[in-house]
Amino acid sequence: MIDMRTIVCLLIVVSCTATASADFQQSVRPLLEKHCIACHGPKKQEGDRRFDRLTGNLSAHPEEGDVWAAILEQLETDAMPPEKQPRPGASEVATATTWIKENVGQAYRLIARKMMRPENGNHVPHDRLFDPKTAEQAPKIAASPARIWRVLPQSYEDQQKWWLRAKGAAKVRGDSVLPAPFGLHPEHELKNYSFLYTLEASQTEGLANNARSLLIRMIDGDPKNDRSLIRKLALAKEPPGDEELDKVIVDLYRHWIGRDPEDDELASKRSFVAKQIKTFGNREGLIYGLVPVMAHPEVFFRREYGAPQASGEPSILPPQELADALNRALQVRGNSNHFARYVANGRLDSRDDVVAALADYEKHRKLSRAETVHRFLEEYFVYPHSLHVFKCPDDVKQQQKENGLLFRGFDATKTFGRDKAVGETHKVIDKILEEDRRVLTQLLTVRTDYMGKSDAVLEYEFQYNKRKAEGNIDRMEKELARTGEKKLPDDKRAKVTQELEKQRKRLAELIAQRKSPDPIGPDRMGVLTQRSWLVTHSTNTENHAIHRGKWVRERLLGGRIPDVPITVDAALPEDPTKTLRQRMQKTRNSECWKCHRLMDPLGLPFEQWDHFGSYRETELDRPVVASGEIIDSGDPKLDGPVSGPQELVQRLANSERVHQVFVRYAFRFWMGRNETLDDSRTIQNAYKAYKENDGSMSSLLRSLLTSDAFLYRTGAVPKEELSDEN
Amino acid sequence: MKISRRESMKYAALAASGAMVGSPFAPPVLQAAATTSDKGGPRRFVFFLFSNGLHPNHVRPKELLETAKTDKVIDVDMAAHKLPEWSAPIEAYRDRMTIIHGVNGEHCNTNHGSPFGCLAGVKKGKSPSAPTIDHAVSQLQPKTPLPMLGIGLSQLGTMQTSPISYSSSAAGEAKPLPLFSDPRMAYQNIFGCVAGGKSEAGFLAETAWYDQMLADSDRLRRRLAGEEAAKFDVYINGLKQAKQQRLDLVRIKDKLAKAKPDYNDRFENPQESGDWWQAGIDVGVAALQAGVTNVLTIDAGLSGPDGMPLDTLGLQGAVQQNGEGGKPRAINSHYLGHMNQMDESVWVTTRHYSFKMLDRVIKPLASTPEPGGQGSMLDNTLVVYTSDSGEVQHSTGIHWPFVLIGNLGGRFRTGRYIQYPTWGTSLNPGSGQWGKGRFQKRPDNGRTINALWATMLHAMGKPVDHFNLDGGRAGIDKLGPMEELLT
Repeated sequence: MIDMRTIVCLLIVVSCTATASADFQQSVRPLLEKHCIACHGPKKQEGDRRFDRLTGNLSAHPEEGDVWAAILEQLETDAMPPEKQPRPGASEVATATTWIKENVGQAYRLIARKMMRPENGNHVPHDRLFDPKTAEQAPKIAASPARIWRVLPQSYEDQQKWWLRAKGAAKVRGDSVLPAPFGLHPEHELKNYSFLYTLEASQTEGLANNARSLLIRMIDGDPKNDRSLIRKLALAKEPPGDEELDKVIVDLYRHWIGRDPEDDELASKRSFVAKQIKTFGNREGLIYGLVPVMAHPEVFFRREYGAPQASGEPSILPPQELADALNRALQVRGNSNHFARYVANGRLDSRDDVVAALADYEKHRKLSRAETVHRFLEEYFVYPHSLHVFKCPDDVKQQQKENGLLFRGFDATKTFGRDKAVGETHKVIDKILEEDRRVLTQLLTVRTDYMGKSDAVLEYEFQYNKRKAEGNIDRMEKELARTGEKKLPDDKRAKVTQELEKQRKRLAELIAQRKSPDPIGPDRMGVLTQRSWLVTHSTNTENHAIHRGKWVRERLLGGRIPDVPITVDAALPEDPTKTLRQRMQKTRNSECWKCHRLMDPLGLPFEQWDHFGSYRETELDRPVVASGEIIDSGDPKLDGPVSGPQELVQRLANSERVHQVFVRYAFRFWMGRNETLDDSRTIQNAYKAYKENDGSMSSLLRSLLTSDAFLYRTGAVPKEELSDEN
Repeated sequence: MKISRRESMKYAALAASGAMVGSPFAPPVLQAAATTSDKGGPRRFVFFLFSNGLHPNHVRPKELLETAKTDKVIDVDMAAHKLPEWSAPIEAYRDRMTIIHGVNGEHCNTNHGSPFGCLAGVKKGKSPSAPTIDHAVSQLQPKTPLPMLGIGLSQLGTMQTSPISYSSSAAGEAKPLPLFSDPRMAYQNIFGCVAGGKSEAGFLAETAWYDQMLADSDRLRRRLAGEEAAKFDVYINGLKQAKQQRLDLVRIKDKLAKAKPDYNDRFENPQESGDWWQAGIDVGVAALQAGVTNVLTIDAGLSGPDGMPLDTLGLQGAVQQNGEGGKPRAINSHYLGHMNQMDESVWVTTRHYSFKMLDRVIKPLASTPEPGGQGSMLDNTLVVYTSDSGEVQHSTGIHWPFVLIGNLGGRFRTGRYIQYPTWGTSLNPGSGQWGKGRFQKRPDNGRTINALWATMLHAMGKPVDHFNLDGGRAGIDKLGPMEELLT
């Protein structure tokens, strides 16, 4: 049967196709001919693109979709025509982009979807976003789209742990957690964007089987468990009554979904469980019957619908959804619902209520110390990735010898743990968040102790171990003398002394071999000079100055680097006699330099450290060159050469633009999407809150969590329309 | 429902393009290839991973020891050579097998096992970063109720408390595929509908889960529009697919009834790990025989060092008298991997056990006639045996050996011993310390594990240039299959 919607669509397609061709000739063709076809036409096809044959008619030529998406992107980001060529006027571009958006729907969707991805967050021009006029023109309520948001894998795993513990079944053999059969993308970008994730068939199947495994654990895991009602009912001789079943179901809803079931849901679930119990008996029946509750879609997808009205106006999230959103905004673990009580008391209905609830929260914990703030900074700086950068075991040994890295931090096998370099950065960040003043400035410039142990620390540790070993012997002697059972073997003390002598010798050798008594090295400042960040942006065998520069360009300056063109061979020449800086001369070729000038001079100052993040003064027996330059930052005060990493970092830390970009990233992390110009007021307010409160992360977060973008939603289907349809 | 012009355009464009184009949710890589699957009937794959390493000399005839030092590809007829003592249990298949040496998988970080790394040819990780080969070949098969089946084997206690595990296989980045560790659950999931009694009722109850979840999803879906609705539809379609898989199983009831394994006491009352190893393998093989799937992955050890069946190997409470550091050492699963695979007799026992389990897969396939075809099922199967940990437990992955048994309907050469030039030297090739080698640059004709997996896709009629050699891995190997393996 064909419904009304299909007929309307078909009519529109027919009428649009008729006029599209005429518009194309007027709106787009002239621009292409004037500015593009010289390089992308019959004579030349730069980048393998040719525009002179484009028809703009996707129904007849669906293969044109990708080309139109590329044209739209280049026009919107002002990336083409090339810099020295005459540029089309603003109205010309606007006419063309409007035509493409309206007529080549596929291209528009492709580009729109691409711009939604985290790596394209900076596509909104920074200056316009922070222009007060843009904020004035923004919608009255700049809401986020209504959506469902898949939970984090870690939240799902923690939720299992919490449930097993709360119900007395934690002491079970084997791993206590069943891993989530879903994950986050591994790229070095903000990870948890709501639009990126859903679940597929094998994953839903895995989750249903996980639910069953958990129920089996709950019933069979600990024979002494007397806290679980499910276990009690499973082992009882009589079948459970409705009241007991309701209690079990409501309890599962509260734990796993964070709400009570509605009446019809409860009735349906009760009848399903009862039916299974009748077929299988209590134990198996409860297992089969309760899986659909524990694998309920809302366990994995959280609702953010708002309370949509027929008028289409944005609406504030209802209390239940708001409590859940606040929980997810502040904690990673899925094990408690701090804001649920406000729902029960009817105190989570408005922005003022949220302000009050956050103030309550802050009585116990600063917002800057919320779990999610650490996660944000991990994703922003990407420093935990250093765990995954493979370093050759021989190089590790060499480093350990020369720089006193007495740990296995860079061991290739250590994939699953947090190593010391990452732990150290985590601690530094934690301290800054505790102080919660000038947060980004501190993150970029704080002088830190470093875990590469200095001579003094090594000596202290040796003395500590010596005292401990000798104390142990003394205690043993004393204890044996007291009981009079037997004596300490004669050579025991001698053996300990011998072992300590050996340690002392090894330590002396190590200290003698080191290049510098202080592995911190002079002038190490901020996260960007920490081992974890430097290693993150290194390869297996050398520094990655280009990636470091790209990070600075995107995360601090809010710039964009176009994708590497497919025709480019992006490898540096291999030559062991040349430094990385010398080999990177290759990128100075005119076609490469256009993009590399935005990255390389920002990354090269970090050549002050080797690819393990150890300070060095020479490279290939020549003094290290650590100069660089800030080019086209968007803030003229920032631009200019820098003598080394300290000057670079210091200058960046003093720039207002850098702090603004930091706020943009924070917005994206907590809203789970890229900002648009509509969010201009929200972002400007957040920056103002951050700045006026001496760079306080708490203030920034408070501003974001009470903003329109966080509280309001638009676009869900109102209930009245549902009833129309049904 | 009201509909704006803008939305009409959106729907119209969707209708014109036929589907969501460029959706980030589309199954990755090989989706398009599914339509070009082979029409010549099933080409089955069995991947058998045994943890803690496969010492190259365990599958290298003694007289060929020197071939390890080569800078050319060595291709020898196995007919004149006898397998060494460690691989005696598979000697009978010598003319139906190809042994491959010198494959490089250093980039998988094989040391201690490579979860989600081995079958993908990428760096191991807690979460997968790329699709694995078992998933990739399953996408090229004619439609079966399950695209592939995974069985995860470990110590009995681990299997009992984690009946589902995730370690070897993935459909793509961040999409691990589950393995059944509890054979009862595997049996009921697949053969429940013909098992009679409670197993059958259980199968129906499991199928009913999806109706419940679909009803719950509908409540969420009705409030969504546009992109969000499309995103949620992927989930709903997944639920429908999962349910459909079960209905497909009901449809082949006759075949299931004929092939179902003997559900004996080993399933219900296992006395040792080996009972569930056998039970799990039996379910997997029966699934192949019944046509439930054409791809079976058995991850024996769950891609880590702690999954050896010590009780069955007779090593429970065993001690190595002159162990590491010259002291007596208790042998646990991990420590077993530390022991020299060449010198220690326990490694003869252990390797024999793994090959006996492998034979438990091969033998039934060899004795079952190909349904509707000629020869046995084994004639249309390729069995791949290796270790996810490379050459030893503490490995570099630059001497990774593989044993292929069967020829996939005549597509793979058999009876061959093939040694590729290695990518590094071993400090002491005669000892158990194969892993302590030094990595060097790629020799001419040296190949990676990714090329081996690409060869399987070629054999399936999907001539890819490479398998997962993109991003940071691009260029570490030349393109194309290992020609020496194909007929």
